Amino acid sequence: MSKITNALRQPIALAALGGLVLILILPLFVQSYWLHVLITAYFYAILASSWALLAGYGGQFSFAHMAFMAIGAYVGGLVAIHLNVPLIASILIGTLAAGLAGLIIGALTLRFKATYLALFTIAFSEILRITIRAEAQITRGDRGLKLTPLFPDSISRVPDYYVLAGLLILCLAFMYWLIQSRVGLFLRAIREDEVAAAARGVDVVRYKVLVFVLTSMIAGIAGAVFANYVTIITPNIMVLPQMGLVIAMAIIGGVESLIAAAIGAILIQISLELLREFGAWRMVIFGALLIVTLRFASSGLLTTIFNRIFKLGPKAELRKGTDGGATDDGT
Amino acid sequence: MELKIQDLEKRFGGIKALKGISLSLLGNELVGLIGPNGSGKTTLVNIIGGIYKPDSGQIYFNGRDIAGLKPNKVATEGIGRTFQVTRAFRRMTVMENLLVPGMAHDPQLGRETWQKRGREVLDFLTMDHLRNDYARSLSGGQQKLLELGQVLMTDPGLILLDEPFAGVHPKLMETIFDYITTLHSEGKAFIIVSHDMDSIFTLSERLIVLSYGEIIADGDPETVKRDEIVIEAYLGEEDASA
Repeated sequence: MSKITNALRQPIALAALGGLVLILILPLFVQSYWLHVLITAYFYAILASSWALLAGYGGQFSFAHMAFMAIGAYVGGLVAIHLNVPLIASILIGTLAAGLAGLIIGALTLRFKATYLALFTIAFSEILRITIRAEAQITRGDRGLKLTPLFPDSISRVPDYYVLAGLLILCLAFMYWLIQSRVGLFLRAIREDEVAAAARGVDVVRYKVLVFVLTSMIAGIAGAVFANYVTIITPNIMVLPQMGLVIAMAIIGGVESLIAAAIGAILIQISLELLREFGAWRMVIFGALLIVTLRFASSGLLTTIFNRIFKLGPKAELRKGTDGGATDDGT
Repeated sequence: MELKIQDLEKRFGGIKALKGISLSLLGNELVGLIGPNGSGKTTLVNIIGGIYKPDSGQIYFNGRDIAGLKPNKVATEGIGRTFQVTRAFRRMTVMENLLVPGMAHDPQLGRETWQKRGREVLDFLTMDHLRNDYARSLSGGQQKLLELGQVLMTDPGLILLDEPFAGVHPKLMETIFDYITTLHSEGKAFIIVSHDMDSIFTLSERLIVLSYGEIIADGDPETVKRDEIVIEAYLGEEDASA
């Protein structure tokens, strides 16, 4: 009990608790339309934070994250439609399929340097998207695959909201646990220097593939659940600009902080909605923000702000009297 | 500790970097590995450490053939190494740098046990006050010590040091020298690659000289120093005439 009390004295723990409470009570104050915006924002938050785990911690700059999301959504949808698999089982099958695809792509790209990995994953995503469009007899192509709603009998978006919010919290909790474990330690070592990590005894192949599989599964489950919320999935969800959006969300938030990447995604999705009247100009503003972040706050705008507020960093750990653990989630 | 290398060959394209290297180390020998630039010293260390696979030949460490094993497997077998250009994990703290080899070696022991071991290693290296600093904030010499600390975490039988004195100021060089001597007296075997002739001749019990991928001399430092082939191939005319 005293551990919890002590933890709550930390500003960051209080902020996290405040955020959690806010997420839980928002449906009491927010109209249905804005609930939809938030649900979509949570979907992107899962994608941005899991991509941050892959790229920021694992050092693997992949453009295939939306493809794994789409695999989760399409496989889940297809088994539900063609094999009459129940909803939850179809989501799990979609998630596993995304993980299997992640295993194959992760193993194939193991020795690729950043540029080649990016090119390979762009090619994979495009091949998948074009295949889905071309195989219209199975996937319904550009017309989109119609799916069963998450809550067929409900006219409210509140249950869907809690499902996506719960999924976001679960995914963040799992990823946070992962980066605090030895897996996170090894991933950061691999990101810093693969050769040195191997010389220190880290099984580089194992952990690089592991993070690829796990983040693919997280993208897959997000895709499968979100597709059943919007009740349709089309190949457009995995076009390159969509992947660019997720990457930009993670970078603006902070690619080396899961929480910052998730909050970045939520804030950007809400901002895009608020700036809708600006039409295409909102993307210009958004692009400029990305450029400013890359130039002046390479660790992420939000991460920089958080670090200022919570005075995070290795010296902060010293003050806490711990032994060199990473602060927040790795900052 | 027993290391036995037999007929080790390595090519890079058309260049034969190692030409049938055979040598053995027994007990806690402290061996200096010297030779002119491009003679194959670092290649040999990289092959023993698993970074390169040999084209042919065997490396037996404590009776097990480790030739071609991945670096992490070589580390598990009990061989630790440092690099010519320091490769500490720069955006991780000093303690995290030490936890990586510990947790990779035996995760079952748990983080707290390895932190405790990390503190012991840092105490030995008189770096405990730096444990929560990022590796990137350390000086070049301190990063070399940190690498040595990473190696010591898992208590390996054989330590390969690639240019431990390069780019280190004289005072720290003395410190590193002392650490090596202490560890050697505690039973650790070393293979040390160095261009710093004074240190390596003083430190080593045995010197192996490589030239163009071949061993041209192997013996105690005084004998090697007087070897005419070594003087001609490595030390140059200036020393030969001295």
